[in-house]
Amino acid sequence: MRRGAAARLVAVLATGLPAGVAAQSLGAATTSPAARTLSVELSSFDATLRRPQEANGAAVGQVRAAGSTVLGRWTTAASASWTRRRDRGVAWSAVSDAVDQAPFVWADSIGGAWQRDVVRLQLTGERPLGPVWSFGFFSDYMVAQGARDNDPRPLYRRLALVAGPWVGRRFGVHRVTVGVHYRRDREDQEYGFFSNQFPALFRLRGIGTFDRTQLNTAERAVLAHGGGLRVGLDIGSGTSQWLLAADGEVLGDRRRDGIADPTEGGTRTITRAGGGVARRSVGADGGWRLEAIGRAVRVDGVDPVFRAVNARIARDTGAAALLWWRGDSAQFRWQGGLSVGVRREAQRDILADARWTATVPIATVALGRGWRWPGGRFGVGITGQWTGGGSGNASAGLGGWLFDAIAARDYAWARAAPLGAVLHITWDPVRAWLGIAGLDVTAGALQATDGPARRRHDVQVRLRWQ
Amino acid sequence: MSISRAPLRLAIATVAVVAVACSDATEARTYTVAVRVQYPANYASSGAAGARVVLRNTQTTRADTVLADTAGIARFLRVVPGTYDVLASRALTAAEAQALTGIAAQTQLNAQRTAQSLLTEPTAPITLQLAGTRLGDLVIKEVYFTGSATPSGGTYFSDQFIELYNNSTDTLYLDSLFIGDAFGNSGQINPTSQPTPFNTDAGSVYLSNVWMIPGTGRQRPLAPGASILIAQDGINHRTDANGNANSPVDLSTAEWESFNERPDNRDLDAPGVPNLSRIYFTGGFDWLLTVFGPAVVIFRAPTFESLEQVPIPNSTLPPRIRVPNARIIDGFEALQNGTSGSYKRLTAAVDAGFVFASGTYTSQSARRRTAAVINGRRVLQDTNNSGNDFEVITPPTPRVFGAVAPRP
Repeated sequence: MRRGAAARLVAVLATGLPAGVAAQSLGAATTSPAARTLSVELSSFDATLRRPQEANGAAVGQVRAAGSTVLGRWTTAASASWTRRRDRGVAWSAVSDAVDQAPFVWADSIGGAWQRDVVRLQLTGERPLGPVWSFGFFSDYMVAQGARDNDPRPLYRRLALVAGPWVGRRFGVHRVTVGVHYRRDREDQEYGFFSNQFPALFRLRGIGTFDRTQLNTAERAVLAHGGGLRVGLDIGSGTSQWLLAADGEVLGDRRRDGIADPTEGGTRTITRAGGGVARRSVGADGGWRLEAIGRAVRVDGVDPVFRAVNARIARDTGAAALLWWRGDSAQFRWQGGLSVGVRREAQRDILADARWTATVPIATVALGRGWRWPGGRFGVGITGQWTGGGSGNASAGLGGWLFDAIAARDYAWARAAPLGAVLHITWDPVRAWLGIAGLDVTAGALQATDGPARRRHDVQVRLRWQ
Repeated sequence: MSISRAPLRLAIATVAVVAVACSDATEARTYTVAVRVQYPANYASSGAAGARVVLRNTQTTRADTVLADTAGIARFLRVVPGTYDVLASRALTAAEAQALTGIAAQTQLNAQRTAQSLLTEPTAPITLQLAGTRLGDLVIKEVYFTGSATPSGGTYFSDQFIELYNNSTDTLYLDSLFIGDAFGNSGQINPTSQPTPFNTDAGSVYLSNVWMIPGTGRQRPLAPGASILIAQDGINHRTDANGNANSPVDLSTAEWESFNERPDNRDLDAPGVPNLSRIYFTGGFDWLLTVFGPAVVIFRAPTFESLEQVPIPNSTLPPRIRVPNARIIDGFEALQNGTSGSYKRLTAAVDAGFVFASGTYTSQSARRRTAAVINGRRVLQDTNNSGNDFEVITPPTPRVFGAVAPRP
């Protein structure tokens, strides 16, 4: 089985669940010497089943180039991508990612379509240091900007960097890797500069707290610094292997509103922790992998007015997955997978006494089949997803209309209990036309089952050159 | 196995870092905010029990309402830090106003404090003092009109006076206050005496003479419970050579006198007492209130010229000044005797009754009764009925209540 195909299937399987342990690898042994790929991807989605601050539809194009090479004793890999997307119907968000920046989000009630560009550069490297030690690094740099088409024409620019070294040591066939990283994220937001009106700006400060002002223009700088630690342990090698990984990160950010006389716009402490364990067995005609993973994110928002923590967010996910395939890495015939997990999200606005919590089970099952035909190699995979209603509760407290506008709809999204299916088709032609080495087509749909007619449709087409 | 310890330690270290980061930071908390609502200073009690207090967040516009307790304290629980407008109001029924001010009139009291910062928990109550429509007004406290008899059995009327009293809860300004006496007989003084021909107009009072307290607006303050004396002649009538040894009053400290400047200098201008402005005069050598029983009103008008001058029907006398009821602040009416009701000159809307003295030159005066005493402030009875509100006394009692106004 090709590792890439399996990973892709896992990603499809794991909708709403964290990526697997393998994806948390520190980068070691993930690069193949002297490989180069170029891909062009077009995708779109329409969603009435969505979080209230997300787009209700988007058209996305991406060009990505990746390659790896050996430079002396260094094994390096790099990729560069440019993503251009147009998001439609984004409400209550005038930032790059309102869900990620919660609770301190600039917003207005109008909403509109956004044009966004993202350029991303990634670089990894690894080299041995003697017979048992190895050293590596990784970096991920992103430049993004976005602007809304309609008044008050908010826009943002974002620079994000995460980079760090790691070291590994072998103990016989086992290996321990330890890495640290530094993260810096800056987003500058502007509001009303290209508007001919006097727009109202909402400064959301939680799911029940906000302030609102009528203004000419406004600017905000969001600056985040943080760091983290990762530990990985590979026990065994070859046909049977245990993989263990754990990581933690603490990130602090602050917002500065205005230029001449800056004021605090809210600070956050974001704590992320995760880990997992996997058992992998690879035979001559197939293999399997069993893994269990968990992640937790905690956000404490210090309110700029209350000067104490007023907003708390918790996101937890846990899952166990079994992957199974038949065929070797060059000619897989069957692959299947099953995952079960749970996703929990809790948001709280302390002084507004507003809160919601939702814990939902998610299960996915997937089956894939590969063939070698005269025209090339085909693969078809289909994945079904079930999300249960789970448990939860929501209380508006003093949140009033703000809770109804965002948090209540967020809670409804979390409890929507959708059923979904994804069809994934790959074709790697024997004879390349225009140099195309592969084609991937993915189509998916989610349908809420909790009553309201909410759904989501995704389509993705990717061409690969190698 | 030796390798098992290293990742274990690292895992423990990771968990430790995460645990520290997850430790609870100080959580925002709400406050309890007390608002003390007080009645205006001249009211009988301080704490405005039952006052409706609104705490409105200036950012969210969320407003909470709490009624003040018996001590006038409204407590807001779970107040979110922020900036607030604090509003208080209290609607008083006539009975409540009577108890608090001595004046039975419905009124609305309000107070507010805007942009009150509550970013930290207040250590003391926020105090608001209510204010509102003034209760009570200027009233005629005493009219000494009968005059006195001289030791030789003669008559003396130059010791007449009118005392005005601030019967309200607030300082009043007497600048440009008009005072006048109504046209018409006080009774069947002569066989031909007729009631005033203007008594068919229930909407106005017709004045023979009009005087005014000079001032441009806020030069003549009069505190609640204070009074001024307007003398016909501002002298000590008992000792002055031009006076009457039997006169019951010393008016040398009056605030004003009605000096009627004439070419023949027949009126006495007391040097120590300022003069009222003579606006319209149809009398003789002095402003003589009829000793049989005058009708006196105090009123305000934008200008004297805004008032209509109306000829007396079938008379060659000068016209009289028509003052609509709505402009009249207070009125007093005395008639000749108890059977003189048909001679009333003031409309029922201004004064529904009258008083009368036992005779002329009897040193009797009519003084307004006291309705209540609120915090030492005497509240005089004002039912717009001189028959109810006034009592006839001897001797007159200028400044009897003790409150005096600053001399102009």
